Amino acid sequence: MYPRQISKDDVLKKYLYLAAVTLVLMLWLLPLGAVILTSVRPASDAAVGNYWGWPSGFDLVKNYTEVFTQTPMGRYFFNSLVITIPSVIGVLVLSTLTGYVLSRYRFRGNTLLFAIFIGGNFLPFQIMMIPVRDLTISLGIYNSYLALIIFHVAFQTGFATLFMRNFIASLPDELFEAARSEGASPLQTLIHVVIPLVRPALAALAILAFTFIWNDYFWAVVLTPSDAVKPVTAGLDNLKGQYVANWSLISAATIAIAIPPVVMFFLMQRHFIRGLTMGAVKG
Amino acid sequence: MSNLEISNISKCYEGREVLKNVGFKSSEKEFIVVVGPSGCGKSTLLKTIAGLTSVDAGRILIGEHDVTRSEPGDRDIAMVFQSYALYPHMTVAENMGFGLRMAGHPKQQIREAVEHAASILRITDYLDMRPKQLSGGQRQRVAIGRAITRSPAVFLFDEPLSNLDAALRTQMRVEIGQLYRRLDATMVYVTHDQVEAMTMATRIVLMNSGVIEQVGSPIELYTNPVNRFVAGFLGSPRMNFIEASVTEVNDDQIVVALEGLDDIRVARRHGVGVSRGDTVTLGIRPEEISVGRQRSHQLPARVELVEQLGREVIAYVDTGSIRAIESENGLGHLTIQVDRKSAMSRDDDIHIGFDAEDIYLFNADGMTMTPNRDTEKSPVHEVSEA
Ligand SMILES: Nc1ncnc2c1ncn2[C@@H]1O[C@H](COP(=O)(O)OP(=O)(O)O)[C@@H](O)[C@H]1O
Ligand SMILES: [Mg+2]
Repeated sequence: MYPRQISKDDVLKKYLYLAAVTLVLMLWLLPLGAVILTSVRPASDAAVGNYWGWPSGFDLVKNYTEVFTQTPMGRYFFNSLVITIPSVIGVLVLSTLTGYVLSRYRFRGNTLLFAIFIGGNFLPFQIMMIPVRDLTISLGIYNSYLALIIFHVAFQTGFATLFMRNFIASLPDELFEAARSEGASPLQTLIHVVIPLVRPALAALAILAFTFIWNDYFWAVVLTPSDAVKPVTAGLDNLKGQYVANWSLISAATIAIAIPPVVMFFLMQRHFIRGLTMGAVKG
Repeated sequence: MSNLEISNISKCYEGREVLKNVGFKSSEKEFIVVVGPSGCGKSTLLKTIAGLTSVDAGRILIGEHDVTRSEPGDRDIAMVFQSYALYPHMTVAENMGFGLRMAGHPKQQIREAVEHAASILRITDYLDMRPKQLSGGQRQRVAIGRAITRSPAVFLFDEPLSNLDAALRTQMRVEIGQLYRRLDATMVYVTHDQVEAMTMATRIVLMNSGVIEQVGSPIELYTNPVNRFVAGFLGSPRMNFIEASVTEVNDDQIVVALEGLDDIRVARRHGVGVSRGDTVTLGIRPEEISVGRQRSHQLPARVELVEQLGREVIAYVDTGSIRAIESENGLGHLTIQVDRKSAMSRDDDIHIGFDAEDIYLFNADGMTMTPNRDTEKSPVHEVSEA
């Protein structure tokens, strides 16, 4: 499974490998580098075609301040947070509940239910665009935070359930039997035994779901036409229309948008503890 | 109080009967060891008592209550698992207090119960540690402590010592025995290890493929096995089994012949069906065979392997035409166990002997055909020089 290590003695191979990695990394990071550089250029640079050269000046503070003072990005940012945070929480809560039940309780239709959760993931969401839009309109939540929150939760919970089910299923059976024989109710077992032990999975899932929902463009465009509820992804597109000349500003906004998922990663990182279940059942 | 009654329990898994009409009853505090080979349904039986597995038929009574359909938490039991099953994210104290905390007992009371249990098991120093910081033996103590904290009427142990090394196992065996004497509770202890069964039990429940073969005190089962399975399962080294044929039958005696030996006359169990010419299995325990010519039946043998155990010597001997079936080494050698002073070495030619009164006979179905003996009699004979 793991890539085989290059032997220390094979110097040529080692350097070739290093060179290849560096090259791929450069290619990969080049556009990002250009965007970062542009985000600190004075607006005039882009006008004269200085896309790749050294900036004629550094307007870092000015550009980034303007993103939030001269454009509605602040509003979009707020909208994104209002949509993303409850959605992520909703996904984590629902998938922990469904994963727990599907992995630990035998009941008629268990497998079928699980298959539906997984199968839902395979539906291309483009084909649901019109029905979902119509549904939100008839529910009276079209063009509101709630519309995006509900549908993000619905679409993310399928995969998240698969993830949590498998993680909870991998916990030793004896822990559940022990809890049950000590009189813990299913809910108590979930809260006091399962959740502390699946923390790393929840953290990983939180990052995934956060990034997915934060970066979503499709549903934002479909469900939230108005600026008042539009998230950053759709908002950035607006920016392009209004400020077509100011690429520095757009770049700065792009970088600002990319920051929350990164912050999320570092926030959740401390939950990735190896061997959390160590000492549970082994001698 | 410590009444435990199990009647006619059956359990099927995917159409296969794992427990068939299993039942036993104990009306006073007892240490019941359920023993049997791997896969015979011991754990399943324990889980049905715990309530972790539902039964298809039968009834379980704990105390005065029918708990057949109750949740495990309502049965007044506590279970100790082979794998310890400690909650890895909790400290030892939290692990031990978990049950009481879930039941909503006040903090002070939980602390007292935990400290009391910890002092019994001498784990007070570890209360703030986490399971992964403890050794196997310490973890097992914590698991037992967790059970004690809830002061149940019945303790259920599922092979609690099999993950420990030999020295620790012996030590914990003694400790669990002491614990039993100290607590006012019945213990049901599952193991595949007949030594644990013999040493710890006040009563053994011996199981084989889903049925109970025999229930009784260790010495009863050892002295008076109801069938060949029980005879072969208890005792280490195992009983020797030799095929023989019946040459004569009368009301209270069966005579069997073995090549090169005088007729062996053994007492006949009252009412047991047997006729001339039947093939039977003759059983004799290794410690009932002695070296020398002083027994009623003797035969020459050649020593094939000697195991010096310090206190005793176990030897595997080849007796020519008389072959043991299902022998320990698979070569048809008889196993004998003698005093350590008997100087024996490989390839020695010796004489071994036994008395007819120490012989067991089993019919083709494995049922014992010899009458019950007095359990008071010391099973080991004095051994004299060869
Ligand atoms: N949950 C289960 N589903 C199906 N078969 C099982 C299950 N649990 C145990 N069995 C079967 O029941 C038999 C007895 O198992 P068990 O009680 O664990 O035996 P023991 O503890 O005596 O080794 C085994 O053959 C095992 O395969
Ligand atoms: Mg077992």
